[in-house]
Amino acid sequence: MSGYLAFDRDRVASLAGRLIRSLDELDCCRPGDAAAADADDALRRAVDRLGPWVLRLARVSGNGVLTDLFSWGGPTGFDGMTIIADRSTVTTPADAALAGTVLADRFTRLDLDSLTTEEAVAELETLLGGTDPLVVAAFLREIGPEGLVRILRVLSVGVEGAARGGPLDVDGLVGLARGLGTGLPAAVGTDDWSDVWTSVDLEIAAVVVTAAAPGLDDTQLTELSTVLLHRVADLDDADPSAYWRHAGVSVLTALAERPAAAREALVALDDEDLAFVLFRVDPGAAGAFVTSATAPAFHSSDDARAPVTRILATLATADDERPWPSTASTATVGASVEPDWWLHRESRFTPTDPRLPTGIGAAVAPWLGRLVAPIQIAGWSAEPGEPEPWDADDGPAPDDDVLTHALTLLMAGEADALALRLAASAALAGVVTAGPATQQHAAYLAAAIEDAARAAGYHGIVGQQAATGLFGGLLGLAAGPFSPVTSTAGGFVTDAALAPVTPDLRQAMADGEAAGFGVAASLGYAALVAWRAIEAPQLPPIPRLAPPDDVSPDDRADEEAGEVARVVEDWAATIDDPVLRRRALDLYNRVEAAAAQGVGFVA
Amino acid sequence: MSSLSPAADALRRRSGALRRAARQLDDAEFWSLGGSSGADTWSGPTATRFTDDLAASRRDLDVAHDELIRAAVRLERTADELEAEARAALVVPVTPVAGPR
Repeated sequence: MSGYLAFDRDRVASLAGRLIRSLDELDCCRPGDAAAADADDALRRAVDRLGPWVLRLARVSGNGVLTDLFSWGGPTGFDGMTIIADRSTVTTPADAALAGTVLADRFTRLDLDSLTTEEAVAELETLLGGTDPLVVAAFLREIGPEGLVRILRVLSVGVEGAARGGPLDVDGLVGLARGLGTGLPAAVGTDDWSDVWTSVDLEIAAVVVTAAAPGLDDTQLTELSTVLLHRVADLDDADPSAYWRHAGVSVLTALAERPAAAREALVALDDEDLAFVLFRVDPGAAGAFVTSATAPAFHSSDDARAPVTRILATLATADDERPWPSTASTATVGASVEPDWWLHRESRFTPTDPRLPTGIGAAVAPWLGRLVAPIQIAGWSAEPGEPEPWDADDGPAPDDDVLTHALTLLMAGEADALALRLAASAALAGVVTAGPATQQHAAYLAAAIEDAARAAGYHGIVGQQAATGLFGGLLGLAAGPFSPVTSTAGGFVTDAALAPVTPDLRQAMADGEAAGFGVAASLGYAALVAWRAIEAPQLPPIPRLAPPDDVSPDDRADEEAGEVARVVEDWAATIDDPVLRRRALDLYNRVEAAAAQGVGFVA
Repeated sequence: MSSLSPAADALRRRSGALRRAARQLDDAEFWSLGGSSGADTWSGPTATRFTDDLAASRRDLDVAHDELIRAAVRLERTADELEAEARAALVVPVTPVAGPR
């Protein structure tokens, strides 16, 4: 804790001398008579209590070694007294205010420009190290935004030097920045601090803001975060270092702790910044951010509408050809990589980490049943870079055209798979219906529906239904003109109330498409996996499919079908029970053939 | 002048020492420390703590002073009692003498 001490050096020295004499006198007054034991005790207490003050007074007056105090000389406007910052005392708000004034006075006397970075940092550490947040707040109020910028620039130069092997300690520098951040909330309302966050190094600004975050209100945190995230997005091309990403992760993590601020920030970010935040910073941090911004536990459906709309629109319209950055340098990266979450080759991204879509799926899924409009936007407005405004004249298509249009965009390479996935999810949830479509559309949609059921984590596939019925229903759905997709005929379509698919099944069912195989082979394979999981769990797991060679789509179908058939046949050969073996092969062949021919299949 | 009781003399010496200690305490420089440690000397939480300690010590010294006086009085009373007993022991009983017939 910090305090202050204003003193007249000579008078304190005189007081110290008088105290010494007094203690000597009191010592002589001790009678040492058994009849006056109480008096003796009282005198001893007085002497013991006052004794330590001799050394303290000596320290203050400069006659001893300063240990728990540090001082500087010169009048500071307190009637000629010397003022020292006194770290040994507990401060009240009034003490803190005065101590902050004292520190600010000291700071204004520092000519940072004339010092080396090491000297300047040493001065700042002496001045501010370990200082109470109340005092820091008072200090910041005194020095204002310009003073804070001066300090942060010194610290950022120090960090940069330390990163190049300089003598300064990065942890110490960051600690100083964090210390300033702890005092910021009590000071930030007193002035216009907005220029600070654009005037100093992004990383050091992020350190200060994230340290301040717990004390900032939602609006303040939103404002500061959006400024920094905008800088993160701006710096990407200009700054080859990873600082911008670390700063982004820090800010997103701070926001994830504050759902209301996360929601406000997500809505406040412009389209480019939001796309960058979602796809270019860090999947884990972005996933936590969007989850916090939309989690039903923290937001009403009205509140969640805006952020979910933004997320879906961003997903549907993102037009970024660059692969995701490597996340190996970030602390949040997990070691395992799930099967490629982006199941369709039409995806424009090269995903490296499945956590963002998983996070987004988890964030969006609870709202699918309530948020038809955003899903329509996602499916309908998937023109890259040109999201359809919600209330535009040529806005979302009628419900019965949404899926068809999304399919068309998907096949034309103008929509990514996630838009279709979300649209299909909406169809599954019964919030939209599908219009007429071709057989090919139907096949794509069937895959997308399965994809959606798996990826969104929202729909369950009926566990108690036989796999043949399950896929019969799927292909029956795919074969005919689209009736309302929410039909449960055939046993596939489910709703949120149904039990989720087991993780193993979900993963296995996705393997075919995850590896890039065609719809027919994927469906046959997936049907077989589902059948084994549901009806013949005693059989060994079906081996995963290896990705096909990178051949043209036109030439790929035959190779893929052959490869899948080989995997299936090899696996079937390990089944001892001839009846089960025959059923497995028969199921695969029938589903694959039906899907390839685009005809209905009902087991 | 010595008393009739050496024990009473010893008690009075002790009492005198206690009274001298009390007077010495009365005259101690300590009592002026409060005036030397005011805001014109120093101020701030540390100075306040010193002032608080000074006040607590003053209360202790008041107690000590009173205890010294009380102890001295107790000793003097005891000395008086001892001396009174000694005087009483010196009185010789008078035997009646028969007169002329």
